[in-house]
Amino acid sequence: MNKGLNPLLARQLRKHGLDEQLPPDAAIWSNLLSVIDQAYRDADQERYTLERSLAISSEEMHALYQNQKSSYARLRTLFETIQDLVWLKSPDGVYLTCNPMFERSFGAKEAEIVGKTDYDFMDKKRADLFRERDRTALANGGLSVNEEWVTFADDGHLAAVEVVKTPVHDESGQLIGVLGIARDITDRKRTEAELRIAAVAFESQESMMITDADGVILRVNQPFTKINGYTSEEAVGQTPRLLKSGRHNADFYRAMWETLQRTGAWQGEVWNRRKNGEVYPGWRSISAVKGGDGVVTHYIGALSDMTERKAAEESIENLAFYDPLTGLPNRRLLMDRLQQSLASSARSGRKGALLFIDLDNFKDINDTLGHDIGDLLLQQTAQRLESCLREVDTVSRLGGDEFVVVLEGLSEHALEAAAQTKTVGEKILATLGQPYQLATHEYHSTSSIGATIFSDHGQSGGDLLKQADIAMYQAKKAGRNTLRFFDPQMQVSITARVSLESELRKALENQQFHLHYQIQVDSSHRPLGAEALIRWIHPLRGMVSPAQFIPLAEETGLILPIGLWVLETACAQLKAWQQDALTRDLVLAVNVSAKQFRQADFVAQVQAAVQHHAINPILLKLELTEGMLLENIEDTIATMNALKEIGVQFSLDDFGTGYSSLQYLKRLPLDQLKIDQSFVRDIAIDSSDKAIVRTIIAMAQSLDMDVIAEGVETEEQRQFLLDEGCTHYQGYLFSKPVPIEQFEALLKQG
Amino acid sequence: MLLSTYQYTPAGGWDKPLDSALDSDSTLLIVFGASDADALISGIADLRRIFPRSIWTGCSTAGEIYGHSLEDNTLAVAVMKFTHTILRLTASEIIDPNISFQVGSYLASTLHAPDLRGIFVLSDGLSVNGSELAKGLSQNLPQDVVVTGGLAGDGDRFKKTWVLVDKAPRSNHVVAVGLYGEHVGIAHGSRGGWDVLGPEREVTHSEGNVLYNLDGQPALALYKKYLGERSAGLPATGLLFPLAIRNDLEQDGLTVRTILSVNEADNSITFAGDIPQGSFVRLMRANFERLIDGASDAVGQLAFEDYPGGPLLTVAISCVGRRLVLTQRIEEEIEAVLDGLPPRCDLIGYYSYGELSPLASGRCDLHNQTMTLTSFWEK
Repeated sequence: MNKGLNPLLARQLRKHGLDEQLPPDAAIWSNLLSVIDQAYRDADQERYTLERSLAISSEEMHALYQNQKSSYARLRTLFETIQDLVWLKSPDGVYLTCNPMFERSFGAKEAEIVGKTDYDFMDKKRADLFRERDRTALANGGLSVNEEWVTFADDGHLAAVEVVKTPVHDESGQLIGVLGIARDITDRKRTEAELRIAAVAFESQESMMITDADGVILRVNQPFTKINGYTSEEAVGQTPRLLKSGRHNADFYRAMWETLQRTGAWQGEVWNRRKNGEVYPGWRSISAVKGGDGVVTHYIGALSDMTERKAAEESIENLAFYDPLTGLPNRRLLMDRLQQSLASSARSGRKGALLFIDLDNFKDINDTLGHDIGDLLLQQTAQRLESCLREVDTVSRLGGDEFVVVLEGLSEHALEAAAQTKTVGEKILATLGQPYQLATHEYHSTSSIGATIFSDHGQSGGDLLKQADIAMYQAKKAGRNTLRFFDPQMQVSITARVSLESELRKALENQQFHLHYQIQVDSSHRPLGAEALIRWIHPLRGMVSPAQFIPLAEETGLILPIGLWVLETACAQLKAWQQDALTRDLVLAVNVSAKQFRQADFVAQVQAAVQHHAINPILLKLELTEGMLLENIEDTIATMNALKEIGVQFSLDDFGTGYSSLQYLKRLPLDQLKIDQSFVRDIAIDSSDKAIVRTIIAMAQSLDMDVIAEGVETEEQRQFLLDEGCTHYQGYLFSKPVPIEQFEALLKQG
Repeated sequence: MLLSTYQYTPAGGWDKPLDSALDSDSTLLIVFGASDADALISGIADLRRIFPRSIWTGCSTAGEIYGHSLEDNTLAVAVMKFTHTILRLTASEIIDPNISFQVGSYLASTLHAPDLRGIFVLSDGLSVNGSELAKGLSQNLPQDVVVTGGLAGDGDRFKKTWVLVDKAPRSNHVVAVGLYGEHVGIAHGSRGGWDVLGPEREVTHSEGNVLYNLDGQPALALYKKYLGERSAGLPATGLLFPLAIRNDLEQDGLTVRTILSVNEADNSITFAGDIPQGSFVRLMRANFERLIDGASDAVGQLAFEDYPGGPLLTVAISCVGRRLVLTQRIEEEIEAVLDGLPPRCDLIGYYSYGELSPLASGRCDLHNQTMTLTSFWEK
């Protein structure tokens, strides 16, 4: 294996004059041994040094790594806490990193953003723009700043941001990419806008001046010069004494200052002197402006002379018929015009149309950008509406974001008139759909239009407005930004509903409700009890389907008295059954609606009914549905536990159709699960229904609950359920819901 | 050129008779010997008697190389009698390392002449800042003048070194020989062969060649941590961990520095050359095979294109740190050098405290932990 001796040993032998074949003499042997001994010692030391240095350097490397890690974590936390949007893109525009604020704006996580470009997240035009800006920043080599609007993808809010882009280089000067930092400057923008508005307001029709706290005039507006004759240069630096007429005594001014200091404002009539010496009466109001510390920093004085007041009176007149914000006719004038249009339509035989226009999501703009911006939108909407129409048509603002347009002199034929109206309506939709420039904000808005065609058939203006309003809601329902015509059929069904509602109200007092009972049996067909089901027997309509009146009752709140009636009636029935051995042990299930269950005094109602009728509460079973349990689960559990105290039982109706999870089922004091009839119906043919039913039964067993199947119609279904371990049934196989007399007859038959 | 090499041991005397016929004004004697010159006094007296006219240079060592062997407490001598080449000798005292640059400048300007081909420099090994000395030399010479040489050694003791001045050993001196004329051939090569170890550290406090802090921590403490029980052997055992300074001018991106002394009082370490403050350094460690490969590579760098054959002397100056690591295997690097040299080449040399040799750019600089070779011949 080894070819000869180790070169070092061979060299030492040579040095010591030895031959590897011949044993050495004693003296040389000793020398050789000491050299070999030294070689071993050297090797040991070398190994020691090497092992030690590797261990220490590894330790040092580890410490460095740990430092690096914690320093990275610190930087990362900093990066993630920054309220600005921060991101880094490679020179090719590929995202390298970004912070959580940026994630919010993109509506994506960093992991989803890194490695992608703007082209993966936005339309090409916008991505091109950003790419161009990155290139500019790279070409500049320094800071590049711009402002833009960003819609945050996470909550949809719009923010003005100032974007600063900087090329970033690594330690060796190699370009890494472009660092972007965007800061939300929405508030600043808003303040700027407010300042601009204030500046515009300052240049209003009224003469105004601003003084410092000592009353030295800092600024006056154009009307000031017009009224008083002093230019801005002449007035600034003076005090309001410049206008002093000499007609007021010192007491007047003392009282004025006293009020001003006490209340922060003063107004009243004053006599002033113009530059040309003329004395005139004016209405002056002075307001004190206070800094954050409550100390007066400025005073603002407004002055109108009598002619201005005259104009003001006119404008009050105007207010009676015109909307002050848009200058459009208001509801009062609209109704007047509509009356005229109806009369004119009657004369000419030509149809007219009324369009009810409502801006989509107008509330949002007020909430996000403020009422000032919202008002700007309303004003521009008014202008655009006017631009869409002929002189003879009327545009008016009802209030809020509701506008009404009246078109006159359309075709005599209803269909043609509708087509003409549609054309105008679509023009309005398109016009209002163009972007708005609201101060510094670019804003997109759409609207929904309801239209109705009229001729003079005795309709009132109010009816027409209602019709158009209904149609407008149909347009909203249809997804907004659209036009819908009022359909007479719509009216019919609404009318029908209204009449059903009024009759439903009377049904209770007229004793038109009845309970029917559907038997519940066990596997040996022994009766266990019944489910009480409400029936409305109307003298003219006959039997009204619960599917028709229950939703209406829910909507109108009538479900509460009806529900209470059911509960009382059921209790009375239980009481009656106590007299007879045949019926004494029957359990009666009643349905409880969500609204009913959520009443603050529902527990008290049940308790009162149980006590009032002196029934055994265990025979009363309340059927609840999954949906009503899911909302506010904690309250639900509290209510159920309180009812449980009374002694009543619970069955979970329609089980399996909702989102029941074992997790919350466990927490509810339920006694029974009811398998919904939709699962039972196809049990024999649908394998997934079979599986669901099996699961429900298993779940009930594991939670130690009863299980009952409803809608059992065939022996085959019953057999399957029995095979799976469900031993309680309800359905046509045993009996349909029947009046109490038939039900009791059924029991007697056995 | 006539060439002869000799070895003297206190016990055995000269390995062959000294040839007085080689003595002339154009004869260069290169003498390497143990730092304890007293033991060699009779050998030096012999040389003085046989070669009175010759130009002498030489220094103390941490081991003398003679042919393929390495010995301690001997004299290794090369005698070169040039035919055409003119020699000139100069020397300077150096007591304070801070004047190293000025000393280098002085030596260079003394020897500078249009036909100067090369300078062979030997310096005291302890009282000098080698990198400043090299800088002083190279900044005052054209780039085509080859400057090689080394710092004297003192075994693993770091106490006292000498160079030969006026044919006698003296401490605190630098001696330089200039070789003139178109007939002299000089080749050089220098390689290390160490590996870097551990993290890069910043020199946070240093003054010239004295290092105080790395990354804000005392440098000496770091060395002691790495050396463990071998700290007792400082400064010699410090040579096990040379310092590599990041330097883009060097072929491998590193300048290697070796320890000369330690100061327990202020926790500092003195190196053979500058450790600039703000520079980045890493510890180095030996790799036996790479050290020996390094020696071979140094031979490979020698340019023998215009060597016409005939007498050829190669002077090997290898760092004491290599000896400390390779211990008994140290002769393998000498054998590796001999293997790469032309067959008729004579080899002497020594283990040093620093090597002087040109960088790739041609500018002379101080090296540490290298095998540095200089070959002389005449055309």
